[in-house]
Amino acid sequence: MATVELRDLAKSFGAAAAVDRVSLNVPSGAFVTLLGPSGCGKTTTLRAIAGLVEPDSGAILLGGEDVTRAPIHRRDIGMVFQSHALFPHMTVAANVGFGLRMRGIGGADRDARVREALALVRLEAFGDRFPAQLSGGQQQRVALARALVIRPRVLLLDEPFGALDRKLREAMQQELRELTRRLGATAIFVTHDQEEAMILSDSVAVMNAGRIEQVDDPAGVFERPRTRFVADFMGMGNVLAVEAGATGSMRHGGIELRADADAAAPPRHVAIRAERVALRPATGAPPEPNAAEGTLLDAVYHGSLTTGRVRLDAAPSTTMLVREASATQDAAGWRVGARVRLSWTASAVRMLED
Amino acid sequence: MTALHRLVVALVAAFILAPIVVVVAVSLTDSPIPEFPPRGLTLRWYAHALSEDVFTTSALNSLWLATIATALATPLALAAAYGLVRGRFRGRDAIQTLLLAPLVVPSLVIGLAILLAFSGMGVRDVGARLVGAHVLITFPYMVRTILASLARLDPAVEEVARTLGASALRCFVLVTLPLVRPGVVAGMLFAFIVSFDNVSLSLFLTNARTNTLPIAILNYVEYNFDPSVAAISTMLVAFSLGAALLVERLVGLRRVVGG
Repeated sequence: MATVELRDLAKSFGAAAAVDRVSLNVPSGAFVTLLGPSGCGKTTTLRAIAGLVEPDSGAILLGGEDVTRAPIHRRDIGMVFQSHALFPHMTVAANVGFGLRMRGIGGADRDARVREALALVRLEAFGDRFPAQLSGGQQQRVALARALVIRPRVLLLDEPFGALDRKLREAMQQELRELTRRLGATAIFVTHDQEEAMILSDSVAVMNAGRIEQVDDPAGVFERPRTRFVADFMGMGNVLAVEAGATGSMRHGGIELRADADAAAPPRHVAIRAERVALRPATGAPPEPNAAEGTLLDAVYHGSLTTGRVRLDAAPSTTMLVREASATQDAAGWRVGARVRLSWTASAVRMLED
Repeated sequence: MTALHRLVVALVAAFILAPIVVVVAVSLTDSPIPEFPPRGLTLRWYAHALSEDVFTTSALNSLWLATIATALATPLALAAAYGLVRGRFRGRDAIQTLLLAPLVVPSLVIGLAILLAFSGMGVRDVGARLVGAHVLITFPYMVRTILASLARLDPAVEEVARTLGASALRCFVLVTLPLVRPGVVAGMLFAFIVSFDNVSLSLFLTNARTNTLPIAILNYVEYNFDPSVAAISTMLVAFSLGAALLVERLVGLRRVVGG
């Protein structure tokens, strides 16, 4: 499969910029996810690669070839939509064979490749059925086989599992991951679900307002967000406004924060992941860096984790989120209304760009 | 279904069907004037109607006219409906309303307007005038039914065909057209019936030598009062019913008319 390169891609609808100078390099065989809230431009970017949207400026290269102005049907891409978009008037086999038929591949050759593609998604026995006779997961697997059978230069997936229930979605994610790795397929996946993005991807591009804010491996965007938006979107839990304090430290209200890295410029915000905050009963000990006392406002049980909101004495307008494993939490500290002490390590403090 | 429901359905059906039953009964009467209940039983009014040149030639005219008008309106309506559903352009809603205008404007007004327009343009041939007018009057019905079919078609289905290597034309022929076929067939059926039944437009555009069946019937009852008109009407009902049954067999009428 081929590399994909986007150079300063831009597209406006009326006055609104949907995609604002997006550049991205996808190596051959890589699985890259465009992650962001609805309206961030991720789908428009994907559709521009497919040729379904004509960019205002910039370039799209597939395997080094400039396809920016190439017609949709000459791009050799495989696309999977959320609404599986199977041809309802054709059998499963005819659906999968459609792309081959468009390429003038017929007869035994086509039949063999259709069988092979259906075997990839474990639907060999379903070739004679019609799409309406399949379950949601099976329909989406047919759509995947239909996209893969033409051996596309790149596989484009637009929230393909958005309509499936959670359990089925997880099974499909697993299957897609194994399939693309086995075939060495270059894939670009669009989703608003950060967990899905991390499970599937070699690399995640977080998008906001038409721009890519950060491209990194899953752990990178999760643990080390660079901007406020990424920190917020990846569910850090706590994004605090800070001022420069004494040498090398920062202050949020009356709380002193220390990070284990140096920023070029003093940051205006830091993020602290809620899971990396520890909650203990209050001690009344004097204030120290990276710790604060307050009152537990409430605790929400999610199953394996519990999330608490704590109002801080030293910054009363701030509520900090703290998340701990339900099984190991300190029972005394987690009583609603209790006086508690929060603490975190310097490595948990992420300095953010604006 | 409760007993009350059944009663209401039966009454509505009776209300709709009663006039047709009367016409069929009258067509079989063995008296020289239309009589209900019929006296005796005979098919001679059918024979009489079929032997009248005014009926047979005008019926052939009407068949030809409806066929040609439908054949011409179909591609026009397909193109218009496709543009309205898939296109993104200024004034789309206005154009859609305008295209459906012949449904709302009284057809006598349209008939007069067409007569004046054709005279102004120097179109003298009665056949050409009728075809032009009937394309105009059938077109909105077809646009309507095709629009309804297209609106239910997920654009992603066409997009996926394009990405798989289908040119715009092949995508339309292999994917779009088969999927909107019920709407197209329903539109053609409506168009055919609208054209075949039309009186108000044809009234302005026919002459003594070239006539359509509804106009011929109208002229006939002005001077004659015998049950052969009922016989003609019965044949028309049978013809429409046959067409509807044919569509039902081919594509399923319920799919065409309803959801």
